[in-house]
Amino acid sequence: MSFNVLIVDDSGAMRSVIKKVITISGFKLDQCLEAGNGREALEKLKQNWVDVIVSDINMPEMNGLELLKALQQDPLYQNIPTIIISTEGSSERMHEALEAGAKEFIKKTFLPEDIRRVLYNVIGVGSDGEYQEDRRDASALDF
Amino acid sequence: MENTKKIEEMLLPSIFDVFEKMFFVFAEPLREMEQSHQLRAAIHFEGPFRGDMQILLSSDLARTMAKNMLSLDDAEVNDSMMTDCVKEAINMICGSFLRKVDPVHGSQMSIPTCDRLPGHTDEGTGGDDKGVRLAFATECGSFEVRVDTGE
Repeated sequence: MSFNVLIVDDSGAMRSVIKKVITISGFKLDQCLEAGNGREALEKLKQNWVDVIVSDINMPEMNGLELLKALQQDPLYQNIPTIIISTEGSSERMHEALEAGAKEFIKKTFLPEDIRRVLYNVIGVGSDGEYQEDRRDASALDF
Repeated sequence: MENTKKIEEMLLPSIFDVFEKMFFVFAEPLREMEQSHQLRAAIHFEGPFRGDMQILLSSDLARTMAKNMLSLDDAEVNDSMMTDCVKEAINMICGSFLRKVDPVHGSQMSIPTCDRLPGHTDEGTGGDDKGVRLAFATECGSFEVRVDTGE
């Protein structure tokens, strides 16, 4: 099972780093889509199936918090897990992001392991990239 | 004066953390300020603490940062990647610093900007007397971080 990830950050360099980390982490990536702000992200969502969104907060035009609120208002997108990766990591700002619908919050600077661990947590896959449910099914068959 | 010392103490680990973890560049504090920087990135912050932060550095250092962060060869790095990395550096240093200043309340940071300096770096940058200036050496050039809180 592979996944489509949408990376939302106004920094092309940061999008490349996050994409690289996801790729080398062994996460089964099908498509990696990119957007420079929240508005572009919503456009990408109209045209593509996305399993998980990784977004910055501080972006021009539509920031990460505004994107989270827009996602929550749309029944089509409100269940897409969203991970915030941001420099703005005060407890007030983290609370605000989680209240707005973020599933996890990673503070910049981060280590590749931080992204890998959070992605696995959010999307519900084990370190082998397989769904936890699949593994349970397989072990049930063993019996 | 006491504030300046506190700012320095909180700023230093943020600078080292960002340079080492994100750019794989190791910095050593310098006593003398360099005058030969070519790039400057700046960010403004508002909230419990308010001010401006700048980073000034050489093109060589910016190239190395982009190369290391993006795992590219020298020839693959272009100007846009360099400015992008320098903006991201000031963004991360400022965010990390503000979390130390006030871990509870959020500060609003502007979108970072980056420009090329015409030559002499003291022109129009301000902050000489009322701000904090920290200079560093790396094996690929020096850089300076300035914080001006307008106090």
